[in-house]
Amino acid sequence: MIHALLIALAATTLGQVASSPSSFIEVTPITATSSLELRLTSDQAAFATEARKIKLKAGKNRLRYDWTRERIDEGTLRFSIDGDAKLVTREKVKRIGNAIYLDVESPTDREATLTARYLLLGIGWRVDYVGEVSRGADGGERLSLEQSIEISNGCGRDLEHARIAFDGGRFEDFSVAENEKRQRETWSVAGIPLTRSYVFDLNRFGGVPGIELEFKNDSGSGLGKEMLPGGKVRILDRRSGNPQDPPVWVGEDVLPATAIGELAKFSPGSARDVTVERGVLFQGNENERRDRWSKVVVFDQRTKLHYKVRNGSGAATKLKLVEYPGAPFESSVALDGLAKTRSDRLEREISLDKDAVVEFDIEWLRRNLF
Amino acid sequence: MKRLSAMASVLAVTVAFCAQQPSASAQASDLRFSIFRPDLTIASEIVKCDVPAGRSSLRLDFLRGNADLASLQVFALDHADSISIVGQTKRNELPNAVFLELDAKAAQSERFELRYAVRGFQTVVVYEATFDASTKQLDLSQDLEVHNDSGESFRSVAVDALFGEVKTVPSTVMQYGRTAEQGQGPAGLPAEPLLKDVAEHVVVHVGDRLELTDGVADRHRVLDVKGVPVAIEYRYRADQNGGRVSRVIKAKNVGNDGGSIQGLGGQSLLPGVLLFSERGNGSERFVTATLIGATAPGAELELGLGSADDLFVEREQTEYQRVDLTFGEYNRALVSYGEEEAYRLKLRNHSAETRSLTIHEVVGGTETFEVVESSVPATRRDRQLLEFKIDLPAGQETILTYRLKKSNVRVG
Repeated sequence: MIHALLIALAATTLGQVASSPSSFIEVTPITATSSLELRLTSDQAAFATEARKIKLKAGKNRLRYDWTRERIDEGTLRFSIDGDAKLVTREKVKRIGNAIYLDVESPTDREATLTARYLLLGIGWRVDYVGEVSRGADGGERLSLEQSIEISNGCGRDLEHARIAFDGGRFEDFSVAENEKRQRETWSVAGIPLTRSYVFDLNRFGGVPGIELEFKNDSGSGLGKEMLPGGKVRILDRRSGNPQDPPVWVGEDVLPATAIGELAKFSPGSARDVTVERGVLFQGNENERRDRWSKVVVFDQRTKLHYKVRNGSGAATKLKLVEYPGAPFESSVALDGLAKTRSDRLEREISLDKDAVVEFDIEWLRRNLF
Repeated sequence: MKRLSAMASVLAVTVAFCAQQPSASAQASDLRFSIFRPDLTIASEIVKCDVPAGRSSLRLDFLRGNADLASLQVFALDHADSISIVGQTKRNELPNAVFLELDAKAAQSERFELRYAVRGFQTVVVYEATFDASTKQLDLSQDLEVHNDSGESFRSVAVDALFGEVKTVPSTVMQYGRTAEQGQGPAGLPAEPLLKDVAEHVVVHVGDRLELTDGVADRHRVLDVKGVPVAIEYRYRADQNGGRVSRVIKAKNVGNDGGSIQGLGGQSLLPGVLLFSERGNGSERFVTATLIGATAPGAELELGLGSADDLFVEREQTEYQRVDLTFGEYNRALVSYGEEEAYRLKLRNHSAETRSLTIHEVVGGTETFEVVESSVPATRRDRQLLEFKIDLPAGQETILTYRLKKSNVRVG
């Protein structure tokens, strides 16, 4: 398909030579693309690096680089030429769209490579992950993770045998026709140590504890070669340990972009086997300070909550409880594992035995509110 | 009275004498454009002609182009002491002609320089920069793109591009009570720049015999340096770059003596468009297309490389309390209060080398504050900015903590 495009390019080019200004003595159209690399990033259009072989004569050569349907961002076009040839001037004839003339000085007759670099609009990409959770021999959970990338081509031309580099890897020989999408699996890693925790956080999960999974993007996990680009992760569960059983679909989440060495955290859904009942026992103002007209201008606020936690998971587990009293606040009770982790956040990690039911109160005081 | 006319210049000035004595033919040469900005180019050309003795009139016809006749200046080059340019006359029925009143002590051949403003030319500075992450070197090229949208093509013209602020003033004719039709020159044409300003400009000589075709933009390379060593800085400020560590490279704009590349060459780098990419890890990444300002000789060119992918900062406010409340004596309303805040920044360096990170913390709410405790010395940079510099060992997490006490925080 690229050949058809090139023929079209050549025909267009030859047609335009006749209409070039009279001072253009000889124009060599550049049509043969010998290699193409696309660099895909999350914040820019695709960055294309394209090499074209050209034959240069000794002395001054006038080349013409043109394109027809490709959605090239012309403002970003850059050219370089290899060897001892020198790019002298670059000319844009405004009435001739999508073409640039280049004057190249070459000391000898030779074949050279002209490299054009530009942003190419219309290339979309996304990364998907499928993770399968299973229980390892040591009883710990493991994750098998597959990464795939889908590239959609709306750039105006077919891509053939392109080298793709993206935030998270690279691969060769990728072809996709115009107005098509193509997905390609990039890697698969098994046995990634996985940490599961239950989190009760009204802001994030509502009134049901959420499941939080995390793994580290490092060599100890069999990863750590590239960053993990952000993308949808679909979690399947095979904790039964029987490979004959089909994996259970747990849920999906967005895996945030995770650099090498960082923790990848995501939550595929909520837990139904650990329940939390939360009630506000008391909330009231105290130590009110009033102005001359008895209007309250500053006050303290005390809040007391009651929790009842049940573990129905069938095994001992842990629950992290998160509350956001808001800044400023100070905790008024001392409980095991209760900690002020931020100026506006209170956390408590609770160990739950099998079938345990735990009840407790927490209380905080917010001073000098107005 | 005998009238002579001749094609005088490629820019379409024709010259004719209306004089007591016949004169020889006139010729124009040495066309030069000084391009200041899109709406201001000063054209300069030399007209050679024979001037009769006594009073004579030299007619200049501007047949083509976008010349601003109101800005015309004429200088006698060879015999300025014996030829006086007494005045200029314009006639309403000949809007493209200027009559120069000359007074010569003797008949002689003379060269006149005509200088006037024209429109339709523009120069654009385009930089292409590539940073090589493996060698920590920068390749930088600077191109000057000359646009000709004047409606005329020129086969051989010297072009200078001038950069800097140009002071021009609009026509002052209206101040003397004339009508707009009489008073205004062609719409939008500015006055000539003042010479004292010109002296402060950066002049880049683009070429002597350029062909400027109408409707064509020519790009000429005026600077090409490769392998310039750069310093990399890592910076963090919570309210910038999405809370990620940003990378900045700095290259010195100094000369390269002794064969080794030390800097960007030591010439003034003009404001322009920069196309910037980073090469490394087997591929090249486009960083940005942006406008950059001028970089003087000896100064540093600073380019942002985007976010670092191996340095991370997790910033949290760990404590916040309101203290020292002050109430008004009369109405007992809250007037001001103090704040005690503590922050913790977890700094993770996943790279294989020690990195130096500069952290800027913005202190809001008041300008009266003090750092009461800090794990790394803090430097107050301005009214609200604190700076911490910290070395992060390879592969380790470092924790920065500090505590502030603010006073006189106003309510509302």
